[in-house]
Amino acid sequence: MERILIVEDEEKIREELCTALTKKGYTCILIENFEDVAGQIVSQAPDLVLLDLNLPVQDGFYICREVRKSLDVPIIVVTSSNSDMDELMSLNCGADDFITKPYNMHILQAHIATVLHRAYGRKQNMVLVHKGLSLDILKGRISYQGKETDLTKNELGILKLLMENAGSIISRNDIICQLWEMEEFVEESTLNVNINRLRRKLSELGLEDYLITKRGMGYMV
Amino acid sequence: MSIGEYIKDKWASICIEVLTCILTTVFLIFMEVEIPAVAVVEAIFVLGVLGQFFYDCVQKKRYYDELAETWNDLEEKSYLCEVIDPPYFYDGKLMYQIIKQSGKYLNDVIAAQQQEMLDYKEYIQTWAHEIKTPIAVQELIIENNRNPVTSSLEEEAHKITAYVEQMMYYTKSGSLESDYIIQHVGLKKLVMEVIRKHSKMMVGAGVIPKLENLDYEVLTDPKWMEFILGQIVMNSVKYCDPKKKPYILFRAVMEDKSIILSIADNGIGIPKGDISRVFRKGFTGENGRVYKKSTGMGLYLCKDLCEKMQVPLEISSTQGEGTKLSLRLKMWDGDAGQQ
Repeated sequence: MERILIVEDEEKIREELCTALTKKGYTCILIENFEDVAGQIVSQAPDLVLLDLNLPVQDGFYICREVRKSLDVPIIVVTSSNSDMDELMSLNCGADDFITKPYNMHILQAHIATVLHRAYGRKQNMVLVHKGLSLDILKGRISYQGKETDLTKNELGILKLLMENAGSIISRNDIICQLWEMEEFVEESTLNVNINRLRRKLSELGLEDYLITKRGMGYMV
Repeated sequence: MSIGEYIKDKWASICIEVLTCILTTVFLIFMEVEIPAVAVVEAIFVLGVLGQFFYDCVQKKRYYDELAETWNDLEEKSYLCEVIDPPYFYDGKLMYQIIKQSGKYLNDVIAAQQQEMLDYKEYIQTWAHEIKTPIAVQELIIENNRNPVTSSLEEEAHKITAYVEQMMYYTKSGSLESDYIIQHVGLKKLVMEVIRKHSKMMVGAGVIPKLENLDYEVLTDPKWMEFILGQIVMNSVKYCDPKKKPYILFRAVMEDKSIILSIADNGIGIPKGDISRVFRKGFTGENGRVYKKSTGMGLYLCKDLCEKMQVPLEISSTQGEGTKLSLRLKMWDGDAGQQ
């Protein structure tokens, strides 16, 4: 379980970010006191730092430089100013990556995964489990009570989104957006086919009614 | 200054001189002065008058010609009074003083206006920067509470982001400096990023993207180009025709070292009479009036940014069939193309 340290002075962002990342399987450490942030980072020794630039007391650039003096932890700078200068400065201060607000959570997650992979080499353990069904995202495989079956790219995308948000209804449009991000520009009718195939595979594993249709709203698991 | 105009201007004086000449001649003849003597006196008189006109004309012509020339050569016209010398004839001196004072007055007014604009611009930029934090919070809350309601809110949040972005580019577009950086970018990556950014809106309207032959590397500023393509996509979505299975087709064609990227849709199209004006600032046209609210800024900004980056942008459209925009981008052909 990777430990991500979040340096963000906006309390709501900090907490929502923490919730979102926890859902994706990371452990979050939050900085709430902005005196000597660099010292806190060094003593916590996290696996990755998400660093905002505009902070009270010391700015992000300074903190980045201070941390770099003693720690080689990957740092992703997150800021709301979309300027090349900030990006350049961040990279010069030793940051590994740069992303601007407002960001798409999938994109932030992808950046985190890439930076972690680059820094530690090992692939993240990406298995989602819900109601006894486990989904191995890297292998694209589901297993339930010892039985296994492979999923296609679209089926994997759909099930991943549903399992990440288990217990909530996910609208058809959200699912289509998720598939578009994987360069699969599906239409409404294709989505129906994909959902039906996915349902058949689930029932082959003995999971009837795992994927529930909420008429007029979407799907949920 | 033209001599003809000068003579025309002096017609009253000339008439008086001629009249004086005639009166003196009549008077001298009446006084029984010899004709040759009268002729000599009148000749001297006429020569004197001509000499005076000539002197005045040359003096003024020299001054005003120089003034006109300086004015034409001057790039910053408000500096005129600082550059020219004051004239040495009385009426000119008066005019010079007044022009100088009027110029100073106008310069003060302009400077105050410019300062006000600058402050305003600065405020707008800070504001846009600040509004991003609540938008980011909102998007994270939505991400953590996915359901059909928040999904619909997300679409609106994306629209807000897009409008803020449009305003930021407008604020930038007026300034002289162009802060773009040309890099080589994969065309497909660029288009995918644009689709990803606007996917919510497209899915919501049922518009399907189609990608064709985009495996080229081009030289452009990715942020600016993403914004430009984003504006075009937003327009296509806004003016799509739901009866026709709406699509947006991104297609690239190579044409002597350039890549022509075309973005075509099968939307409602633009009326013939409006097409030549769509790049104008604030132009909304018939579509803007009849169908949707429109700011008339999107395409204007596209054109403006394209011109700054020297990317030719063209539009063609058939009403009822669709609209197509084409951008001529420079192709990146590895290190060989770099000079």
